[in-house]
Amino acid sequence: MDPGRARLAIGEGFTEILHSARSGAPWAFERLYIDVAPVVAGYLRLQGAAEPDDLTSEAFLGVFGRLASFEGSEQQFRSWVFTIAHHRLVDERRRAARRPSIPTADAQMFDRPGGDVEHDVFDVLGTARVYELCAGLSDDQREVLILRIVADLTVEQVAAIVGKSVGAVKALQRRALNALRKKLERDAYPYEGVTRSRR
Amino acid sequence: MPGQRVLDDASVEAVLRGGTVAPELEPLAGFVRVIRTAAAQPVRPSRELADRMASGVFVTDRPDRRANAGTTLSKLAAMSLRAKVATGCAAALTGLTGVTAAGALPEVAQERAETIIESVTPIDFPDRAEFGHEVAEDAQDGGVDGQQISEQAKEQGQQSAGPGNTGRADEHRPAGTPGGPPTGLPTPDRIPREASQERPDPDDHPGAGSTGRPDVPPNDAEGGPPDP
Repeated sequence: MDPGRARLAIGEGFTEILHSARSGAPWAFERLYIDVAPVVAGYLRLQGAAEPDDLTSEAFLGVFGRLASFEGSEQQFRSWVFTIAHHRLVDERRRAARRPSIPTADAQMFDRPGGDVEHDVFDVLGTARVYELCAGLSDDQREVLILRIVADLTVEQVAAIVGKSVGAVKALQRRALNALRKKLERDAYPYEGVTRSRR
Repeated sequence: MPGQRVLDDASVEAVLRGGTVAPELEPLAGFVRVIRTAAAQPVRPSRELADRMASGVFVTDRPDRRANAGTTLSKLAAMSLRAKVATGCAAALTGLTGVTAAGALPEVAQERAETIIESVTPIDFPDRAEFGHEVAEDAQDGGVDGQQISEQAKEQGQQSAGPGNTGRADEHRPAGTPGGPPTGLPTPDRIPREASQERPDPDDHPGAGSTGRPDVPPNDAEGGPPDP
């Protein structure tokens, strides 16, 4: 499996963790948060949320507060969490009434423990470029693409979250990838070499 | 772009899900990997979320209001007509009693509501016309019954001067008789001349002429030095 692939982290123990979280067990909340919160924050960050970390916490307050009403598998839980995060993002956008910004100098990126300085700098530059390229997509294209890639959701799940048909989601993701492909070929940015050398 | 192959559904899925792709799609697949890696950074929970996760208060702190409302409505729907009428009357009477007790109704409505409530409940509202009447009569006939109280206290003090008897006048004060001033309110140091002339002699009625504090002797209140 690709190391960068976002797969279900909990697996068979998910039902027990969910049950424990419903009973108010702190360790279960922590496990669910650690598993899903990073990708939720990443989704919100790539979507240009003004305060992605705060919005992630806000989303999880909603998730854990309504945990008693959730029934389903880990994959369904993930989809449910992203539905709530998506709603929070829409609410924030309505409040702010502004277009997503391009966070090119996120202090958190530089706050990670170092080791190989050359790789870290390259990583940061790559991340900044990722934000820039994603911001160049239309809102709908970016929404669909990030939910597919970061949240690791199916076409049907993404369609349910964004309120579009499966066909519309497929068309949006295809157009988004084509747009990115053109930009990448124009820039000739060596993503393949970078990512492969890091894995 | 010339020579660029159109992405079909299978290629899109392969790129998005990290599968094997054609060589010309490798830069795109690499970019997707970078997106995934960039998005998977640890995030610290807010203080509120961390506190709630540590205490597990999510379970009980936010009851589902819609569910509760639905339960209440379904219970109401399941009642018989008679029970519904009785429940409605009880709810209306409870609300009316609260508003009436607060004295929030117009005067005419207030009187009618008090009459109704007194007739169907054990609640008894004070008669507004008689309120203060007894006190006013006491004031007219020479002040509160301090003389009588004082004499009773003397007699009882002589009879039972044993331990435990504090002899405080307020222990023998009849119900409804005004006592000292509320705690924390300023007490006038001097009684105005005109007012003192109209008041009864403090020696005859010590309770009325003093500062109102039963534990302060009348002489202290009357004969103390005035404030500069």
